Amino acid sequence: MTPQPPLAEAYELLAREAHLLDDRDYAGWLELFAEDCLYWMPVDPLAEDGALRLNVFYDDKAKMRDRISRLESGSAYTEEPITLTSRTFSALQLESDGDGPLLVRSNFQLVAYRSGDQRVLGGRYRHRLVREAGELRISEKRVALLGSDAPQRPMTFVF
Amino acid sequence: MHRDVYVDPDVFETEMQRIFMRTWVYVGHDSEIAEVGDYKRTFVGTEPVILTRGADGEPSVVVNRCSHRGAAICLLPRGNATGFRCQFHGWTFGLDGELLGVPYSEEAVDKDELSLASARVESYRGFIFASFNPDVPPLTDHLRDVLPYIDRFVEHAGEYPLRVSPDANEVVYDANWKMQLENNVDGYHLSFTHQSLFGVLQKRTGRQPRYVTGASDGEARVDAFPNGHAVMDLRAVATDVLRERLDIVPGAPAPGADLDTYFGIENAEDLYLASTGPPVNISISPNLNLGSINICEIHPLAVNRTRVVLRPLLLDGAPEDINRIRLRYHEIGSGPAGFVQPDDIEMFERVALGLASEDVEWIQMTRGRERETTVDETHRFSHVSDETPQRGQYRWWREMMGG
Repeated sequence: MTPQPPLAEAYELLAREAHLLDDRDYAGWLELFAEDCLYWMPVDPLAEDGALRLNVFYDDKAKMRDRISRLESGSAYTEEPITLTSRTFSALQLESDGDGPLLVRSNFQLVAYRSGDQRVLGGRYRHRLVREAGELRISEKRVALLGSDAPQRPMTFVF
Repeated sequence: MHRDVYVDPDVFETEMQRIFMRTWVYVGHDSEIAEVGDYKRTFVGTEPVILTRGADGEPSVVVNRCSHRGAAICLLPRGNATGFRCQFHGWTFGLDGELLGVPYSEEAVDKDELSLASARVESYRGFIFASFNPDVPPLTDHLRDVLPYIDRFVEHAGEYPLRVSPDANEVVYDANWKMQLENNVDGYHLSFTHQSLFGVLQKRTGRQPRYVTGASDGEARVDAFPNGHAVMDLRAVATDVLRERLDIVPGAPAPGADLDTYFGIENAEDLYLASTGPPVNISISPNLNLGSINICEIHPLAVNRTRVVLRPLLLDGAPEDINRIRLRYHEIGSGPAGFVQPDDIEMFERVALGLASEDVEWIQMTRGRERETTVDETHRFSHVSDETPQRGQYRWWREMMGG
């Protein structure tokens, strides 16, 4: 039985995630996720299950670590110089069937700046949260990006 | 080579006319328009077109432009329809472009004259090409020397028919379209541009990944063929590295797992290992790259802007888990958030930045010129890290642009 946490607790977790990412504290970001987790962006922003569909990325925890180690290697050249990000999220909505994991839906806007070029990306997050040893952790983060099925410039930063 | 080849808008306009409107241009794979009425909105160079499957089962390519006042009649990337209707004044067209209806028409309308303009269409082993040149030689003549490589690509997973993912990874970059065509057969850049991928592999597998090293690359080689086609054959250097890439695929069977049990078929190992592709990279001028398990379409948008569309190839009738792994394998490298493609794009854009220099006019593309083997006027091969393919592509380019 997972008691439904208050909205404030989910909000606090998403806010912490947003700051960790904008601060590029990737080790801290990885800690927010359960060991058995999924971080993904479908090509079709309406895709509910990406296992048998093409995605922009579909990372388990090991590939999330690969993504971070590549970003920090100094030879992921789209991030040399780095992309600065600033993100906001809003319109949180909680969904739970009582004893299953908790779904948090939100809208996001992400401003990405690199080498004089500023982009605004937007879409919807869906976080699935589980409680592990009393701590709320992310077991799934789906990023439904507007235009994920259209041509995009490289986006190698973390959403 | 002169910098104008990459930066001059007049060169770009000439390329659209003398290359894209005169030769065969790849427009799609059979499986993208599998059923009668299936269509795909695409481009031949900058010419907007629709690829359709007609009632007779044959593919057609028609210009995506109403013959009345010029509105585009197809806006969706793909779908299924019985025909097209221009929403501006209601003119209707069949899947092969035939003008079917003109609302309120009181005067006689020449329906032949006002059907949609169409291109010649031919295909080879599922790859559909179009040409606006009525005098273009047959497609198989155009592709002659790369046909065996296309065969190998198509047969890399045995008898399973190939089916493209309907979803595609798409990227856009601010540099010339030819950078992408050249890159697929550029063995020289792999160990440098993609160093971060090899770093990930090393970290995960604990082994130093070998690839093109410039020295002991055995039989790995590049070929430049007639008509601007080129091939990079990496079998001799890539096989172990590609196996290691499978080890980092999310949801892949654990090392040492019984693959027959995992996939529920006999001899599953061959099919599993085929998830990385032949490995041979084929560049078919002017707009098709085959490599890994991907079909890559190159769409020139402007002299300094290019759209790239990548679709992984799945296997019809194979176990679901095989196709799941092929998708995950493709996603490691490809797309705007992949571990490979963004770094290529970064280099294309750095070239565009560097070529802002008007003071330095010439680009070096001479590596291997002394040691390459000349078979005949249009076929040369050399060491896998040599620029023999690129020189072959530009010999054809110059021929096409000259006349």
